[in-house]
Amino acid sequence: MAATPSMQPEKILKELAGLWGSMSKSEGNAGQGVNSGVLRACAMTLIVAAESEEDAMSAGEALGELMHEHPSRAIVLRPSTNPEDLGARVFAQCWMPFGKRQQICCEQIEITASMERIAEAETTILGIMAPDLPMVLWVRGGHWLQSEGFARLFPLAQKVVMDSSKCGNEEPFALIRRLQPKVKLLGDLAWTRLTSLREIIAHTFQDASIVSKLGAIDKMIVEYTDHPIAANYLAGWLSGAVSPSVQIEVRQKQGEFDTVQLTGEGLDIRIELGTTANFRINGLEYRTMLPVPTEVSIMREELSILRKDRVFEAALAAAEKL
Amino acid sequence: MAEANLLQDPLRFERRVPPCAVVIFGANGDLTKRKLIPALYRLAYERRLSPSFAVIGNSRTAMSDEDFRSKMRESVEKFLEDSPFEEALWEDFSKKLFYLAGDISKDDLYQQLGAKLQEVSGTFQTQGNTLFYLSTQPSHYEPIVEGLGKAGLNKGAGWTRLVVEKPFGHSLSTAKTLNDNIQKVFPESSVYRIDHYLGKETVQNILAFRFGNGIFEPVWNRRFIDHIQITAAESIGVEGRGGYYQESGALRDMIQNHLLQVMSTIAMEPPATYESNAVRDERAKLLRSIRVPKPHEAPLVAVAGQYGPAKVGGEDLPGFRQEQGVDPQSRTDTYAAVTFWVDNWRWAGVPFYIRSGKRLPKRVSDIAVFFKQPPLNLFGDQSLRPNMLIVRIQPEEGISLRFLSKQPGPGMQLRPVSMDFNYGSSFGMRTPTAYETLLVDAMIGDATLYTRQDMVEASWRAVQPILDHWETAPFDFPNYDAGSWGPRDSDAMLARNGHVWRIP
Repeated sequence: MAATPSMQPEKILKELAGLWGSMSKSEGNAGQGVNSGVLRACAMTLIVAAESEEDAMSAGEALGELMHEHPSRAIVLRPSTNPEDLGARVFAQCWMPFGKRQQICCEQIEITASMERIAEAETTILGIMAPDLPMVLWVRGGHWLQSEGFARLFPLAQKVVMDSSKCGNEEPFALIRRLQPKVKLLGDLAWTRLTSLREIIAHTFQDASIVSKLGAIDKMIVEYTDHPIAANYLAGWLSGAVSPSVQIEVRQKQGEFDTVQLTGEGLDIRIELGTTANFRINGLEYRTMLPVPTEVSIMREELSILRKDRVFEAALAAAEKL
Repeated sequence: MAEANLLQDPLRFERRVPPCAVVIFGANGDLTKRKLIPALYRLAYERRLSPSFAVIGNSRTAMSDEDFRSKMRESVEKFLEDSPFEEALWEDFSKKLFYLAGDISKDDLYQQLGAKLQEVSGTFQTQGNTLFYLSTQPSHYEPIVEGLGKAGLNKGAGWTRLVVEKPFGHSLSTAKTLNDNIQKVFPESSVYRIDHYLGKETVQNILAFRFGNGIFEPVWNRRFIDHIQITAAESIGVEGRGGYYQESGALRDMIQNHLLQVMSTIAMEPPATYESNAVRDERAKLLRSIRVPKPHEAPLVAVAGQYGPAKVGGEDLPGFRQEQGVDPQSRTDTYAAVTFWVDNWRWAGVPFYIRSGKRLPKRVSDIAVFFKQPPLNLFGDQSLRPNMLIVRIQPEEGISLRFLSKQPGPGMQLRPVSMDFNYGSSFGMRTPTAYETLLVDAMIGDATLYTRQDMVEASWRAVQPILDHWETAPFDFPNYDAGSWGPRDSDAMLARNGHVWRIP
């Protein structure tokens, strides 16, 4: 089926050009001096595959914040239940950095498509991606991952970011295995969410008296209350620093806090994870604030990494085997 | 050798400092209040300091720990940039601030300091790692280093490092003496000479720009570049620092250190690796390649200026000699412009013009690279303006490229246009202050952005004949009005090579 006129890439690009033209004119008229006006910034194409109309709105808010550090041509894919639906509209997101005299604006294109017609959007997206810049595809749930048509976007992307803890009924590692051969780089927000915690653990273990004994650890238990995928990632990551023969157990528990226990000759570590990370290392206790990762903060981190992430790959490989 | 921590993830984790104590000499001074403690607080805010961390401040003023904490709190609240002040965080941070009053010329201060460091190491597990920070007036550097050495504080259970603020000497010979005296106590590898310009994001970005991109390096040489202008202008005067400033002047205060470091960054050869010594070796090599003017050449390659009174924006501004604390007959240069020539294969014949001054029309620091004219003018009698690449250091950090474009409409009229990359708007995130960057580097032990003895001596060597000439030169000061772009002689210096200062 031919794309409706509004989905023609040339038409969308013309609308974008018109939008910039009108913005610079109105800013020029209203400007207070030679330095007023809008500044256009773009470092990548960011395609956000939203789960629903409501999710598209919430993605729009996240994009507004992400644009500050990762100015992009943003394309939001909004799913429609009407099988005939396929259309696009363009607009700009602007902000005025504190203390600056120029507004910074990024362009946003919203494509509404049904599952049936998403394959047709591929050619449109191909035509409207910001040239010569990387494209990142952010998949916010499991909806689009069921579509073969949607999968045609994968080869266009430098990186696909998904959240294995929010991908429906498919077993997370099975989903990752299914996606991996189709994408250049894969990011999993379930892993990204662990960065603050991992950083605190790594920093605490930096102590010479601990790091020298990590090799003696013979048992590791990770207990989770909610997300098994995060616990598996954590165990997988920790396993890289201890002996390959260590006995690893990942299990669900009742209660409020996830826990990690590492034991071996001369070392007894227990970490309890809540709003703080409570460490008990050979009887000594430490407590560190554990920042709550937000959707924006973890996405910001993923967008900063557009190359191979060997630590993630190693943790994923280890986690899959658990 | 310490065991590697296999849990580190350099791609995602922030660089954090290891356990250590920071000893600040001159803890009651401006630099500590305005820069050092706010930078350390900000690092604590970002959770980049180790829990095993403490600060011991020293100055002559009698003060309790609580008094010191209270003073530092005022400073952090006042001088913290782009960051919130958090009560709970301050509570935690301030518990790690201590104060030790004492005279740096007395041995007992260092005995007490040794005991305090022991105590702090026991309480906060700083593992004997100590960073001594000299934030005093330069005449105190040598007595402090000597005192630390005599008390054995230059060695300990962990690492010991010394951070020295500029100026590193007042001349080539005093710089050598200072270096010799420091090295009697601390090995060069433990000495961190701070030049906060090198900690600025844009100056670091020059390395990324030059060596991370393939398109600039082929044209980065004498065949394509006509000349380079480096400007560091301030619109303010000496702001109460007249007494200090008249002992240094623009050439010593800015060009000998900051701007020659900037020049070395823009002109150095690519280092073999991005590692401390490899980068510093290339900077040092460039500085050593600067042609040292012969005494009779000094008046041709350098211009000194001093601002006189003027009315700017309806406001009467005093001349330098009318500023508080300044000798009415002062011969201090509040403006200096120098032509440097670099005698190596890449830059032979390309002048580097560097200027810095106070009470100029605006505050701006930038580097302008002027490319050569096209070999042929196809467009009739329209004058072709050279392409220019501008690296803006402050206030708006970024890079601009100026080139000619056809003016829309009939005919072939050309006009210059500018393509701008604005660092702040392309990356909306907060950039760390130079002191945050440099303090973390010193605590981690990364000296890439610090200057080395040979670099300091090479840059003194490049300006010493000019300073010697200025000692006796008959100056007709004041020779520029406040609010102007400097003395006419400075324009004449460029005109001799067929060049003109750009107006930033």
